Amino acid sequence: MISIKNLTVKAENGEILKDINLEIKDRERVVLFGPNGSGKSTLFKVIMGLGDYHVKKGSIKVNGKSLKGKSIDERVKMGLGYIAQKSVGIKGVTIEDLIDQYDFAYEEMKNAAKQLGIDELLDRDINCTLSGGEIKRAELFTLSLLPNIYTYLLDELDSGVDLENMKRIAKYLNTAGRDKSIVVTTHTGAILKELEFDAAYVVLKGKIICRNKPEKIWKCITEKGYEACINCDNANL
Amino acid sequence: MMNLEDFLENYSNVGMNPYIVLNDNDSLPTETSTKELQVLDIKSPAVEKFIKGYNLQKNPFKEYTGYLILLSKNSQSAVQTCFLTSQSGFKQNVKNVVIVEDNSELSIFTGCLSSTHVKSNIHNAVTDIFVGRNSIVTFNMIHSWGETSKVFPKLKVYVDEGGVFMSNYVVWEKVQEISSNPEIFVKKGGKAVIQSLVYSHPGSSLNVGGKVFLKGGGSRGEILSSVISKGGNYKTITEIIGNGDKAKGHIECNAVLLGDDGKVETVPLLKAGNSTVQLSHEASIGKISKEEIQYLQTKGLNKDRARELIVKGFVNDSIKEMPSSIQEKIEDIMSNSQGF
Repeated sequence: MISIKNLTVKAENGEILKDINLEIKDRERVVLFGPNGSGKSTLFKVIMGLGDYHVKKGSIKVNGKSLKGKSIDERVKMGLGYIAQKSVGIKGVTIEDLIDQYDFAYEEMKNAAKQLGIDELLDRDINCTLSGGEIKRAELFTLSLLPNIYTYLLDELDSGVDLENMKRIAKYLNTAGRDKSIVVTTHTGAILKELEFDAAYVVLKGKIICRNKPEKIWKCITEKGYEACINCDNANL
Repeated sequence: MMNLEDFLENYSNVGMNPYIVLNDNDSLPTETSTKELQVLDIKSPAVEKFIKGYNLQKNPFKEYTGYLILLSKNSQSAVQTCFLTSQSGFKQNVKNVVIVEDNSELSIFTGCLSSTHVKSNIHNAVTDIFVGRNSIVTFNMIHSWGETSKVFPKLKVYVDEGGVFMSNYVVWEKVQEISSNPEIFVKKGGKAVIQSLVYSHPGSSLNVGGKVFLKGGGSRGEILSSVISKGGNYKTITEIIGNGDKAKGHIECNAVLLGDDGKVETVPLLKAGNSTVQLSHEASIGKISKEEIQYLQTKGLNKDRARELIVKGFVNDSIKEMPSSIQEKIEDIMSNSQGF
């Protein structure tokens, strides 16, 4: 379980997340809506310890343990799995090289490789010369190699991914990811057609301003735009 | 530095025959003379008739060692050579000539080393290589000189029509000084590639570059330099001069800075002699990117492991076009080294 309380985060240009309260329960599926630049990605980065952000106030706890002072890899060992909106490419390092870094259950690895169809991508440099869908599939695969990941933070999972890839990814998350908490950000909403979520939040200007059923919020956003969310009667925080 | 036995053992594994070992300024211990391949001591009287008509660099040495390798037309061969210095302060002078006649293919694999106890040796070399029409010559070099060695090779290569010359030059062990700037002259439809991978250690002074003259129509040239700098001074001055119609050339230099004290300088120079020529260069120098390290941390690796994997990746990417024997060699060295 991830528990975020009163989280306020500063970046170079001032406060970028303001008083965020959010709880992700075990096996819960949550979608975060928000326009570009609203703070969704920043929230994930702060949870993972990425970038140069300063936590001014509040706390993030995973299963009761604070993330304060933990390195990125320590956070991964605490069960957090993360896929960025734009994954970094590394020349000369292949997915196979990455596989060599872990002790993992071979059968599970084979299953994940098969489900995600990454056999032909193993000797390619990480995230270089891969399509959007291939990158997301490869990233999910490398996450599957890590033991004890029980929360997936998937930033803009549906951006740059075609329908066929999206269906494949959703199928994988519905099987291999069935025991995990899944938090997805989206600004297009395409993911809603493929995956079912328990709850949705709207992030706007660094604040969480709404919590409700995903379909309900998405309908509201598509009809009235994000600005309408501010004064929305459906807000259920 | 590797000891002599290990080195010879390692290089024997490349499995090329003949295998020439040239010690100090001694004569070639065994010569090879078959219908296709001649490997002769450079001072052997028989050399004269083979090199007649070839435009060779002046021999500045009084005392020297060296070889003539001659591969007849329509033949294929691989030769392994090794230059050794076994006395401290010794000046080894080398004069080599390689002639590959038309439609042939030759791979030369050279290692250079000094025995563990040898200090302050100097290796001078003057080498001329002639690549015949539609022939392919690959010149592979892995240095393993001592920390106080100084190395000054002067290489000139003439690539005839449709010929290909590739130089793969690897400096991984610490050496005091190297100056290696081959000059390659390429005729119509020919191609020259100079690839180097250099590990610059603290206290080293390394000048590894080259010049390619694209003289013929449709000729192509590439100079690709990769450096990992832990310290010392590294400089690469590279030049491509395109004069032939539709000649194409590219210079690339990538440097990754591991220490705080290493100096890296890259000077690419492109000269186009006519409007059909196409030349380009790109360069990057910098520390390992923080984003790459953080990315690998999100895959559960700690910072040190992440850094190591990224440097290995840089090396792998630098040598991906080199022959597999070199790739395997580098992989061996990396897997035996304690980090970077």
